[in-house]
Amino acid sequence: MLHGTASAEQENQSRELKRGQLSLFKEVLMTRIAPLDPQTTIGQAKHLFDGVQGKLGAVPNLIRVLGNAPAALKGYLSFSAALADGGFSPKVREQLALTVAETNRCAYCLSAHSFLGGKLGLTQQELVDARKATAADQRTEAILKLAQGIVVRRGVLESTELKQARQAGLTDGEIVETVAHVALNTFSNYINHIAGTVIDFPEVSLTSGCAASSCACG
Amino acid sequence: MQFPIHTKETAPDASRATLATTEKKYGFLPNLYGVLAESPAAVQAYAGINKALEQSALSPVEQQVVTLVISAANNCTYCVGAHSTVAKMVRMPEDVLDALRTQRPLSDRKLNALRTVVLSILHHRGWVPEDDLEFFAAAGYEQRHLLDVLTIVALKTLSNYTNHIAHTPLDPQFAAQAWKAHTATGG
Repeated sequence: MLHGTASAEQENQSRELKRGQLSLFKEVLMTRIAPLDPQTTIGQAKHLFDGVQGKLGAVPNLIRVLGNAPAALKGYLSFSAALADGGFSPKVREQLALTVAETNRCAYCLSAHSFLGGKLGLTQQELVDARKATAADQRTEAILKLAQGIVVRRGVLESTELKQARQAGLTDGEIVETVAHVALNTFSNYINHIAGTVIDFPEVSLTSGCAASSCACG
Repeated sequence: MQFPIHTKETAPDASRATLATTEKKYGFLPNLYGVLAESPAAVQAYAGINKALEQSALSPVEQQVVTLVISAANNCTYCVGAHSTVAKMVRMPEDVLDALRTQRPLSDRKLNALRTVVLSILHHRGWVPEDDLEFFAAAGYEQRHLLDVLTIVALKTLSNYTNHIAHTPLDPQFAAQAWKAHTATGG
């Protein structure tokens, strides 16, 4: 329980409820969130799954998990589609996803985006660099550093960070679009944390330990 | 350096249709949309999630509870001002709105469970302890509600952080609900 958010009375209430319904919780939430099977899914979710299948050649477990909530599935796919039409290249979008996934410690997302980035032609070195918010290209690195700062400081940037982004040539539109990429990836990172999504890509593990300056785990 | 706040006349071409639809929906164009419009992809993303949430399993009042808890925890003065106005439009009870604006627990048990899980998601950056998930489920919420909460977290991450960076001024239409942070939370 998050300290200081509920009164003692509410905590007692919660404990009472817990006793009665613990077994139910175990079934409903402790198994986390089960992915839907596209073979047996019907209706709107099926239609949206088919769209993903057409684009990626598979329906990743993250999308199958999202299938449990029509608004979330539709929201995620429309968010993702909007940014796919945006100003950043497909490679930079994958690099951004890797920066945010590493900062938020999401192994599912690291695995997925290392695979997708590799398919787009990012080298092994570029994939590893992106996780540390670095890139050979200076402008790309500025985008990644900005994204990392936004995640770690929850949008409240240090005065130098915005200046550095602009000095590297990022426009106002690109800065806003970077925030949108942080939001999209925060969405998938948090879903995977909560759902315990099983990794269905070649597995990439998190770097052990983390530096307080670049990691959001503290 | 000021970020531009667009109208549907000044925005990049690819943002204009979204701004026109938004203006029609609210009767004016909130400054946040004007800022987002500099990136057609970002404004489209924001509008797209909002549209998807029309299908949410959470009621309009519950959606505004989630939105206000996130925005207050992130100290987003613009978003709390704007969404307090929306909360009144969807008839959120006054005492609930007041508690949300002063960042206090809610007397309604179910809404408080909603508030608690949202704070936990933010505080733990998605690594929600099992106790908190149990508390949420005990109030009668299901997995689809949790996924919808995360959808709103994504939406508000975009708006809260954009407003932090752009220092978006509150629109006069929201001025009656202007908000100042009471305590520093989140972080």
